[in-house]
Amino acid sequence: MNPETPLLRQVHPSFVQVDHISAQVFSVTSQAFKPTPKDGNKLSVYNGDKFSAKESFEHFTSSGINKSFGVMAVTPVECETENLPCEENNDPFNGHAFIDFTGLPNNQIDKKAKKLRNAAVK
Amino acid sequence: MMPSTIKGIYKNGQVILEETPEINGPAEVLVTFTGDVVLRKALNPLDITERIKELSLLQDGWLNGEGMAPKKEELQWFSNIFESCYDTALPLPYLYPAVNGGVQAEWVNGNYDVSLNVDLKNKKAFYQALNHTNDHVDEITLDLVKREDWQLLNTKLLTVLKA
Repeated sequence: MNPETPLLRQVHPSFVQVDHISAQVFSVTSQAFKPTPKDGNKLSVYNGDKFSAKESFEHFTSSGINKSFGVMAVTPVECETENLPCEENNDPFNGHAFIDFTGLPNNQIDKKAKKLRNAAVK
Repeated sequence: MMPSTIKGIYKNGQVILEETPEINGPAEVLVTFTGDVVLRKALNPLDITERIKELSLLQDGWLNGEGMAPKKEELQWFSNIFESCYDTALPLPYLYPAVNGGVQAEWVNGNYDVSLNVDLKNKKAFYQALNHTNDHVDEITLDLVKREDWQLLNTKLLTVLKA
């Protein structure tokens, strides 16, 4: 991964709210960039050097268990700006990476999730 | 019968109309199963009651196998107290489920990114307003049973959303 590699994050349909009147059309919650208990403070992303957004979507949803509304991306530079390390671990599949929120209190996780969501929609 | 002079736009399977003589405000056109065309007042897409109905359909495991479903009676409590205490002059929030069985309300206005993480079980909420221009964060935990805490929330939102 290089500093501008897209780190592709799948967005669950429940994290999207349609707003058919505003120009914004839909909104995505900052929770899309907040690790869940299952993540163990390591937010799963796809390495954009190995997966296109479409490929990551198809890979994520192919089992029929996982749902995704679509894909958003941040870069390692944007993570570094928030002091969030990111790295590729290729586990459980080649091209799996994570953004590490380890050690942060909940309010800081909320803040950094907002910052990443903001970076992703710019 | 459908008025012939009204103007509208077609979006996402719905016709959204501007002001009409029949209805004071935006309206939408519905075609019933019997083929009748009905005009009705358009709901705000962020209408809390409607959103609560959607959220009440979630099941445990809604988030790709994890995620507690919010309890219906707790959602109804939130809907009622929101209707009762939220300042109607403020914009409605986006409302999302949270993995812990709560909900998260969110407002975005220019440089401000605001969230209210609601613990439905304990009727508490964590408010966080982030100003992206200077990274300043305003945070407070609110007791949603107390009207004065709702007033504080309304005051804080008024400040950041009207800024």
